[in-house]
Amino acid sequence: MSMVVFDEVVKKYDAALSVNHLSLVIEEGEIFGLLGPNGAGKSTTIHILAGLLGASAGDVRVGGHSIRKEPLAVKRLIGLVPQELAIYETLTAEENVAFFAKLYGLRGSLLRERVAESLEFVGLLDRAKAKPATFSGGMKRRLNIACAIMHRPKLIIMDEPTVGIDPQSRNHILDSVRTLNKLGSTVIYTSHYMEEVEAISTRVGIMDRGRLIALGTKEELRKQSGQEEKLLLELDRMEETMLMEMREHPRLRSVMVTDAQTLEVVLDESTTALQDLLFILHKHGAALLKLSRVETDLESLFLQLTGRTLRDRG
Amino acid sequence: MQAWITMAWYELIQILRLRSVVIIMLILPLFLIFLLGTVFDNQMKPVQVAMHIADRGPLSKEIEAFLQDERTAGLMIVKFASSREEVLNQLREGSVDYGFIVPEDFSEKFLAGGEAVWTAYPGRLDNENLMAEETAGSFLKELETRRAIMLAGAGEGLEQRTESEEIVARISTEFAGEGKAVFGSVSAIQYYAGAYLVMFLLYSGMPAALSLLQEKEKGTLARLYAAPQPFWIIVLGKLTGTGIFAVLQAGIIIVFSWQIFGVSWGNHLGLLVLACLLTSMCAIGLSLVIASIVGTSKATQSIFSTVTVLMTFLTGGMIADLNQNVLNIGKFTINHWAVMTIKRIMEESETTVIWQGIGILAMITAVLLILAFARLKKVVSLHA
Repeated sequence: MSMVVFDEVVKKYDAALSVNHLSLVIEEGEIFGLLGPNGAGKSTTIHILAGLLGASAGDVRVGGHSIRKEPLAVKRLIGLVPQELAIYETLTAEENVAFFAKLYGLRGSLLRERVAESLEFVGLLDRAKAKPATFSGGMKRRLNIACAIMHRPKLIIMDEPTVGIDPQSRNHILDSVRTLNKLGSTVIYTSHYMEEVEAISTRVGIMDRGRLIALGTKEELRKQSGQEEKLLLELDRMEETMLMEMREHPRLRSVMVTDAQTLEVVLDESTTALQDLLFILHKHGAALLKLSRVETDLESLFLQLTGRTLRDRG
Repeated sequence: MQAWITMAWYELIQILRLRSVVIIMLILPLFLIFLLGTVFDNQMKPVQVAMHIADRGPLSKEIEAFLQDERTAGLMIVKFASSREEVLNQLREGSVDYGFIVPEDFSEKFLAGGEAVWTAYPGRLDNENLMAEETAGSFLKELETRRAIMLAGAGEGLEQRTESEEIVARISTEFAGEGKAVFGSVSAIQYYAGAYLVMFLLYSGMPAALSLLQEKEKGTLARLYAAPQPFWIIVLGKLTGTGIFAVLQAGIIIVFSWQIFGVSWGNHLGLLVLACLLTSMCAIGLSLVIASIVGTSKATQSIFSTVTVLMTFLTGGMIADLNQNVLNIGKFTINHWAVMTIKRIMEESETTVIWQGIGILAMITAVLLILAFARLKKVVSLHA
């Protein structure tokens, strides 16, 4: 069942298109990673989805409700973890969560139960009476999450939830995302950190200049882009004639010596490229001690698709 | 409804938890009212005078009228004695500061061209002696001036032309200087209580705009927008919280100044509350208009504070004895109409007169709130 459906969504700022005819379906139970550099349109997309911003054209449906026609029904289904720390320094951790819970209509014993549950989930129950001013950056980020999940939302939107925190807190947050997903929430996760998105996402969408330029699982993305395969070979000996033959071979795109015994070789997509490589090694009497594949990361995929890195500005 | 109450309650909690706000908004006004009111009240504390009027001539009634006038009472409280001995006894006992006897032949001698003199019995306190002598002296000097005019044939008879109210007013102006005349018909502490109540009510409207701007600056506005509540309820709740704080502040200033400093706020409590509410709503409107123009909480705070202090100054809230031209400029401020209305309530003026002030205040409030509403989007827009 589809949890989120973007239908030809457009957002214009003056003449510029911040979101350019975005159509996307996110299924229930997914952890969907949304990637893109600053200005790609990720935050605008998230804001339209959460009802913070109106679309210039198109519509978004969440759990079957249209954000245009039933904004409050959509908002009830969503828990938003904004990029900025959306917590009040003058309220205690418990009061922060309770305040937002009340805006979601929670009252009485249910309110108390859910506040405690949320704080426990993010590991802050023992600091419930403390004010965020006494918290570390990671603890504030966790409280930021607690304020978004106390109403048990069906869809959790996390906009760069790990910005500027220590590795321990980051791992805690990533574990939390997985747990929330297991408990039944669909998660949309945006980040600059490739490794995070790769680690937790079931599917990834890459945005650039307001458009969705790639969509799928990591494997699908690699195949979509027709990306070459990169291998690391550890050899007992290295001969110049062997290297020359490799470099002249039409199916071996690049051959690079990384140290005295290691070669980095990029193959084309043909199934015979690896066979040809092994033949050349055998011909020159070089024994293969170790063979490993270099995993393609989303950073390099993005670079290939757009000619820019994910952390580029504009 | 629940969301509105929640917003108002948490807004109030957040304001009250800022120690600096509590000190500045609740304690400082009380301190200022006490300080300024006491300083000026000490300078004009009326002197206690025992007086025996032995004269039964044509001027005796004029003298009595002058002494019994309530404006004279601001300078000199007279205890009438039936004899010279009673005056001296009261002086000895210390129940009065000064004694006067109007001689039996005062009218007769004076009208015949003699010097206007009362028999004086100074007390032990120099300041009180000076005040009694100056007050009586001003009155007698006025009588002599009038007699001179009469003798020069420039006018009618002395008895007809001597108007006690005019004399009292002149004495008050000449003698009191920084005293009661400067503050109008209210006491100094009443004057400053009213002026500072209005100034701090204006300040209490500022958190409305600051709070909304800070929601944007600190990132919590996104989460409020994401909540399943109509956004106008959220804004209304925040403004209500600010309004409750203003009412609380006004209540504390009024009750404390009344109970501790003895400030009389008149007997129209309902109208006083209404005037305070309107002033606070004016302030909320003004702060939102400023916020919509400047866009940041720091700039809003600076400009709003400057405007408030300037308006207070122009209406004599800091220096009572201001040049009339400056006071005329002050008539174009919120403070002028708010302070004037509150002064009328303190004076226990007729209800229709008080309502006139409230009506003008309500019109200013309406204009500011309409402007604020029209520009509110600039303040609460996430993407402006």
